[in-house]
Amino acid sequence: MPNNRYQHITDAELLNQFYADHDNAWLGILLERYTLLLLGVCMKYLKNEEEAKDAVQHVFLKSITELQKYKVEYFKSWVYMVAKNHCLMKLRGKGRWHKEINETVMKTVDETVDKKEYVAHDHSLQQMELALEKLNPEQRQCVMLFYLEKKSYQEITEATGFTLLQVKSYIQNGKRNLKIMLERSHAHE
Amino acid sequence: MHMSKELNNILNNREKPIDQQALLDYLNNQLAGAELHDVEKALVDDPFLHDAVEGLQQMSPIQLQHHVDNLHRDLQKQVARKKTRKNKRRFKDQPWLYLAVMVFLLLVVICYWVMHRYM
Repeated sequence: MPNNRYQHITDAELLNQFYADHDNAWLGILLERYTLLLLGVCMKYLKNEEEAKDAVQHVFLKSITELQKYKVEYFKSWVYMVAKNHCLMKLRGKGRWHKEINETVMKTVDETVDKKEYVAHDHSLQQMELALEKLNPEQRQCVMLFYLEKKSYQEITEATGFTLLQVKSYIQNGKRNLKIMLERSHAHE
Repeated sequence: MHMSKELNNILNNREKPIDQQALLDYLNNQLAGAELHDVEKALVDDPFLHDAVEGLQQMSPIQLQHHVDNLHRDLQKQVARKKTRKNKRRFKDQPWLYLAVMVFLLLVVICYWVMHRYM
């Protein structure tokens, strides 16, 4: 990859560089990081390779023009929203999405910040064990196999007899429930 | 205890994003062990990645790199085109440059006129 030498620079730093000198080359580097992900998202919604590739080009163009106009804090969530909105509008037929996108997307907050702050709280082991006990059996089984025994999705489906889709949702929901329970116990302290 | 560390790690999200190569390897079923677990852990936490994998799994994995290369080529063209357009705009923003060009043209016309008349 040609832009490997920028690997150590974070998205936020690249954006700041762009806001400082308005050189689109920074956006080129930034957008390239997400090409594959954007292609996947567009493919998921549009279910057609050619349309998906077209949509990615639209997202690139849109990003280059929109980022000149206003400041974006969390590029990753922003560009994900741009892609999703573009695909949904496309599916809905031709519509006016220009205004809409600015309004919805500007409000996008980065979920990972919330998560990172959360990590800072050190949960005691007992709390975690208690919370694990309270999960329903399917979720507990999948969460333990996945996080503690580091089994892959595939291995978990084989071990439990659940479908791949079930395994994914048990892990996802199990983790979310753990988080909610720990937050609650934290609030009670 | 080893388990206890893992227990506390459940809620930690990975800081580093999954890079493109790891994702391609994942889609080609070429990952195993810790690397596979890394990607699958990120899939739980990152809806963007999750959506993308769902879409990419509908495409032929050997074509993906090719698609990405093409899209990058177009992107580089976009980036370059926008740059020249911006430069043109900048030219318009500098009235003295216009003035200089006008004066120069006027001088040429005068020179021509003078030469034509007296020579």
